[in-house]
Amino acid sequence: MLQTLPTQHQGQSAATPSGEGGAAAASEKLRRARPRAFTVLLATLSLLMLAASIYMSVLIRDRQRALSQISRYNVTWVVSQAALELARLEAVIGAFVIAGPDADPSQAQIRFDIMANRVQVLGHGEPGDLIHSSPDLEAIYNQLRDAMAKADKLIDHIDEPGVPAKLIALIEPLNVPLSKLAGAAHDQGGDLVAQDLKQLSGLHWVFSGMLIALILCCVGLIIVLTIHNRLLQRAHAEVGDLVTDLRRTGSELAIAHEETKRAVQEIQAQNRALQERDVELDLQNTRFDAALNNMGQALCMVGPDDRLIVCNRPFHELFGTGPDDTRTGQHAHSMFRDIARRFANPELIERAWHEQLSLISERRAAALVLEGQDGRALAVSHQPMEGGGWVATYEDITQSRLAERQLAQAQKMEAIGNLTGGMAHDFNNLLAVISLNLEFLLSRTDGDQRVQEPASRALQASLRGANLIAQLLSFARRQPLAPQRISVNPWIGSIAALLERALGDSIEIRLSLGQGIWPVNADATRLETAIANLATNARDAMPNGGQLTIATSNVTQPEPPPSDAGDLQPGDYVMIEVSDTGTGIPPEVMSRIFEPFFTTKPEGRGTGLGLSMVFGFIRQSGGHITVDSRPARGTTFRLYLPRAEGTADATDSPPQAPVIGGDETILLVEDNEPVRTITAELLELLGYHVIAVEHPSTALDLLRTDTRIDLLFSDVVMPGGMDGFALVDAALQCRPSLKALLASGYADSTAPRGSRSAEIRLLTKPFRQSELARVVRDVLAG
Amino acid sequence: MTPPLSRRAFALLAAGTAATLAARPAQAALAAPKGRVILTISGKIHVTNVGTAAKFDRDMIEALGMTGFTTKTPWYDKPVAFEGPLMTAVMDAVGAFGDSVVATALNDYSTTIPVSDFAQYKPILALKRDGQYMPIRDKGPLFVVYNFDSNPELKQQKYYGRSAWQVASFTVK
Repeated sequence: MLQTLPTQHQGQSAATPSGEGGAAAASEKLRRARPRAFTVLLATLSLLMLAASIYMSVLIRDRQRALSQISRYNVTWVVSQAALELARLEAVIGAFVIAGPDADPSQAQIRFDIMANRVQVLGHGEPGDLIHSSPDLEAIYNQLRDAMAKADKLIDHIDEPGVPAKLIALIEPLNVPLSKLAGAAHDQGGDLVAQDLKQLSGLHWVFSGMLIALILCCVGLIIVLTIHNRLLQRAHAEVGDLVTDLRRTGSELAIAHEETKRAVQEIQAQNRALQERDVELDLQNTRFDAALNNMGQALCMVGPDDRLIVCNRPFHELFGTGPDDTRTGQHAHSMFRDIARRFANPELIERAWHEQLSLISERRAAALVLEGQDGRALAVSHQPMEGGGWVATYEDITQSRLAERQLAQAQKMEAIGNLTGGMAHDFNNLLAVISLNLEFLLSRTDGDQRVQEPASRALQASLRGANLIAQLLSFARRQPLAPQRISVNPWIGSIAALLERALGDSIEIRLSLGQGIWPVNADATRLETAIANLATNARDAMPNGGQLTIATSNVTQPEPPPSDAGDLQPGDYVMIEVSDTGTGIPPEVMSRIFEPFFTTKPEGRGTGLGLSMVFGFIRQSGGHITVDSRPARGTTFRLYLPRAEGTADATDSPPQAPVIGGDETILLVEDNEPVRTITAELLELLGYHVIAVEHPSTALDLLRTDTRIDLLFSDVVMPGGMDGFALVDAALQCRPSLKALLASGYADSTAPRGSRSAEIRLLTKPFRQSELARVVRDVLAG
Repeated sequence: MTPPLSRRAFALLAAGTAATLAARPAQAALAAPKGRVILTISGKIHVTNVGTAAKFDRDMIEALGMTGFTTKTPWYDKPVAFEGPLMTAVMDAVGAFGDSVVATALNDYSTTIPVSDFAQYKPILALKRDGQYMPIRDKGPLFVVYNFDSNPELKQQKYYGRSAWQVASFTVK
């Protein structure tokens, strides 16, 4: 019963939320069980009682009948009546005996008739049966009847004398047979009583049986009731248990309901969370895709079964594949075989895959850089994944390797430049001393050929040395530039005329000048030197003659610059292209061609500074140089020079003014003692009064006095914290109208932005006497 | 003075009663018996012919209307046929208004019969048995008999006892 409960519950819980329905059913069951048992018992009992009462009523009727039989057959009473009537007859006859004939004979007749009737009655019916049942009784009855028959003859004559006495004699003895009959009747009555008692005894047994039956019935009833009670108690207990179970189940159901509600809410919350998570996952997926596709490297992910899981857009871009070529589930090996065919350098891919195969088998992570003979480089980063499979990134690092090399080259150049710059500066000072002293000597030789000639040679040599130093400084980008506006095409034309003579007949110079070429801002002299250097190299590359082409064009570097444009900053440039048809530059030396003192030329043919100078100068001018060379095909250098504002043509160099001195007072500030001395001497030769001081502070002290000073001529680079610019600024504070000139061996000697010293003319060391005289005169005049 | 008054008052009462009885159309006045009186009815009766009693000879009884039946009885070996007037006719003849009748026989036997028996069981006051007037020697001259065979209820001592023979008088009570 209890086992089926859950099912009932489930069935009922649809209709009733709690277990009350089950409890109601149980109480219903209890209520039904009790009356049914009682009804059965009571019905049984009442049926038994009904049967008993019916039987008893039957018995009582029989008993009544028996009793009435007893009365009906009360022969004793009949006999006693007979005795009574006989006695009355005797009394009437006796009256005749006493009174004689005066007595009433009719009375005697009636009494006799009554007696006769009685005797007749005795002979019929039940008394007759009794009498005829026994010969003795029959004899007695016959005696009675015979006596009555004799008396009958006498009764009519009762009034006659003597007859009453005869009658008395006849009748009186009849008491004897009557008493005998009475005794027999009594005996028969006893028999009847015994029969009655027997019947009563039967009744007693019946009643006893009924009593026993009733007792048994009661006992049975008690037993049945007890059992039923037990059953009821058990049922009640079961029902109680059931009710308890139902209540418990009900509360459990309620709890379950709550739990279910909670679970539903949780599920809903989880659903919401899942939906949010879905959205989040979608977002993450999108982000992941975006991240995957926008990462710089090609990526592919391969599962434990060596089949492709995913690869990103850069992968397709790198290997020239499409989504159709790299389907998910494709075998990695076949994919890479396919990729290798498409890639610019299949050998590189094959090598990469070969390396990866060993990494896959060893489940090892590694970063590889594979470089092909064509300079193509591939970076591979292989990483096994947790749980099998692997992920790898691929990057074509050809360009970045190139850029790296360029950077390294630039850094090398910078270092070399610094080295050479510092050295050149010192050499400049030495050469300045040498050359100025030689000029001083020459000015005093007074035509003595013995002195003049060697001194001139020495001066020439020192000038060549100065030139070398200038080239070194140029490479180091420390050469002071005198940029000017140059109209490129006409300028190239004049250069070409010079080059034709210098390069000889075997070299054909061709010009390919573009239309509307912008002007540039550059140091014309240095640019001329640069073109000449390139032309010389071209000539050397074409020992059997060839063609030198100089071309010009306008180039606009867009923003952002293409990756192959190198360091070229966005902006407008004029490109001067110098190309030859020579032997070309071998790849192995390509990276070194701009290094100073690097040369492939035989000993004594080249300084190794030509291209270095060009490189340094162009970079210093804010431009860029590229080289494109193919062995046996020729080399092309492209010089990019920033476009100058405006379109004005280049002005020719100002006409060389004659060297003119003056009598003004010049305050010379120079820390280098030989330079200070020779400079002072040269200026004094020109007629100037020179106050030479070593330290800027001394100069400033002097300036604060009333001492006449027309020009402040200072070196830029000086020890003691204050450089030439600062000194000029300070001087201008004291004497705003003071004229100033600065001298420097470095190109990067630039005044602090916004200071007045920026307007100060800069004289490049080493300078020649004529140059010094002209500039000083210019400044004093300006 | 009182006795004569009483006697006169009684006479007046008797005359009043007689007048009242005479006024009853259903009960004709009972003639005086001409033959030997065999039945005397007394007690609660309205009709009398001799003093306060109603006396009947055999003709008067037969005049009440003879009826009869044949039935077994405890007193004869075979069924016998009885003839006589219904007891109800006898009671009507005397204007009986009691509840019971005490029947007294010649041999001084008496029994009490409820008047209700007469309407219910229709007993007769038999004069004849098997067509012959019954003598005193054979339970005569009058015998109150129930038709025992007509109703099993009657076959019991109660009704056998009420069946009085050699009846000489009824007293209505």
